Amino acid sequence: MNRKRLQSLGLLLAVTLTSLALAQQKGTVAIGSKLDSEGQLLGQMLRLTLEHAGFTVKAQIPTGNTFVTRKALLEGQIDIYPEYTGSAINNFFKGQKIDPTAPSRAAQSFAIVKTLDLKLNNIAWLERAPANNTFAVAIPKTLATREGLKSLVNLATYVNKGGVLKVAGSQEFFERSDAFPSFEKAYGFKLKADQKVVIAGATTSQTEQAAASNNDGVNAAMAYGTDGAIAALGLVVLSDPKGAQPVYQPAPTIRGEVLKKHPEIAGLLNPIFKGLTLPVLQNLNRQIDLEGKLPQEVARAYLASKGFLK
Amino acid sequence: MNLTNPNRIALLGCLLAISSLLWLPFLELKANRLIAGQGYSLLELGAAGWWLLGVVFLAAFSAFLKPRFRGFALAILANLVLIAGVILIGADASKLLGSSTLARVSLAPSAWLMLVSSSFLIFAALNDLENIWLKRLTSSVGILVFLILLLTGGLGSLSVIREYQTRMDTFWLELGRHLGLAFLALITSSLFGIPLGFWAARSKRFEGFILGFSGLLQTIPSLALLALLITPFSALVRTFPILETVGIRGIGFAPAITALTVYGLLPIARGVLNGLKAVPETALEAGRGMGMTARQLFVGVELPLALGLILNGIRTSAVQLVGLSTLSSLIGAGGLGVFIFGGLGSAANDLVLLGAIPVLVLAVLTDAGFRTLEQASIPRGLR
Repeated sequence: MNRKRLQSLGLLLAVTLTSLALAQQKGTVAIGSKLDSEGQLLGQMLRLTLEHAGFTVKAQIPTGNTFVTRKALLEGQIDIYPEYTGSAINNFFKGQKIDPTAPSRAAQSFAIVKTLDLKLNNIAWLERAPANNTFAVAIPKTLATREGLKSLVNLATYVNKGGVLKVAGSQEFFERSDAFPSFEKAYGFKLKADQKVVIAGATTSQTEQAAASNNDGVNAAMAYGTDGAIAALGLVVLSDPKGAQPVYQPAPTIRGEVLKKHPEIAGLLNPIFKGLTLPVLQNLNRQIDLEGKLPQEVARAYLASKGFLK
Repeated sequence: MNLTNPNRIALLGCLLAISSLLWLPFLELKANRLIAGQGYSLLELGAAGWWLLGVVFLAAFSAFLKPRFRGFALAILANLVLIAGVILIGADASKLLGSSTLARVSLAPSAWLMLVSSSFLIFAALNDLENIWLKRLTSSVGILVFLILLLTGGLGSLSVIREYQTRMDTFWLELGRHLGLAFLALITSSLFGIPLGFWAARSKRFEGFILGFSGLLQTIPSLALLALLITPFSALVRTFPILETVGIRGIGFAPAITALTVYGLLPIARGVLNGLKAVPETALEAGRGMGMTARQLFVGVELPLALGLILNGIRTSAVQLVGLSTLSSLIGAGGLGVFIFGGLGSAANDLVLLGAIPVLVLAVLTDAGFRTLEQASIPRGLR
């Protein structure tokens, strides 16, 4: 073995050892996510960011449904995963009442889950994304501009003065008191039976498609706020100023011990989630759901374009 | 000609193929991955469709031939239907798709029914043929051509293949995981199930208890069982951190294998029990009369006679486990369920198929493999 080779070998060894030491110093973080594509997208963002920052990442994306993933976090089997404020209020902290009309109810829901989860379970909520992935009503853009419909308040006025409306939704959407009936109650309107097109077991992509193609006179659809198909199909989401639906804002939830050991994780993830506005998330979801790209590819491209990955 | 006694299975297959190809859509074109698409019938897609219909008509005629020629003709035509059908699917799909990057083409009802009826025709031919090599050739040629087309990208325009292409690496990884999970669970189920079955066969008192208990286990909803297992496994790993170095954690393969073992237990225990109970008393008497010891009696008489039913139980369990392993993805253990549940979540049907079709194929292969084993296990004297 010649001298040069020995030198380079020594250099390689040194680099490996330093990086090993660095990795050791940075520590290991186990990342999980829920099953849906947005859950996986956000989970992949956590993975890529922490890997880039030098953490050793054990990723289990997806981990399972809400119940399984949450349990894995509570049992310390994963250290961090993205969860929605609305899910936490509906499933983990059921008794909490939030004034639905308060203009700051998104902040309020977040403050409640953040305080309670830290106190009861030592789980910290990092910065939330300013996007709301809740049940909503979407209508074609043309209808919205023609009739000046921006919110469900406008829609109620439009329906009550006899405007033409036909909503497509799943059975659950029309029957669950906290879904469509909650809109009717909060905004003071009532659809006739022939104004509801019930598609049993329909997904939002099917109802959105129906509204976009004006099938059977349908011109409104059950939707989720951050659905990727909304913009692609020429639809807009009507806002819910009276807060008939709980706010579903995604944020990383992390075990208190892990955050205490690595407080810099908050600094790494907060600016990313701050940038995930409704149009941004809709666009990223569209790439996964409509174009069939992989969540990790979409996450990597987005983070790189924003300068979070180099 | 043989007008009074045609091959009815072949006729049924032809009828199914012709009526569906004429009246139902063959392929579906969707503007993107999620939205509902527009169906196109075989003949709307081009005149080449007449060739496929022609072959099916010929097959229908040959069903009336004398049995001596019938099997031979049906064997050729059945494989021709399959080959022509699959080639048409590939060609028409790429024609429909054009150069669009967002659009997707999926199989519509008549394409599926065409595949079903070609398997009817192959089955009908197998009934008529007698030569074992001709039979093997008949059942494999069409499938071989299908595989070649699949591997050479001839079906690359189909949406489910597109899903595969985006996930090529993870597909084989998850397929391997799926097989590993099912296989390991079968081993552990057998490790517990076989002794339980023996025990039940030896003691009347335990028989009711064991069957009742393993039956009860089967009724636990799978999702609930998976979620329940997180807590004990997490506690176990916290107490014995060494377990984590071999990969045992509160989520992942350890709780998945445990849940699958629970579900795989009953068919195996029952198979062993039934097998041992089915051994005729007279055979045992004869053995005892010959002066066999208890051990000789068990190894030389009971076990060989019971083996068929024991393997039958193991086969049932194996096929069930291949299907149930999809649930492992719900607890972070991966497997083909990743595609099925991911596709269901985002309403991407072709992603669901990417998981479901291999599960189906694996289940059929597992079944066939164990059946062969069962056949071979029957003692020579009883064959």
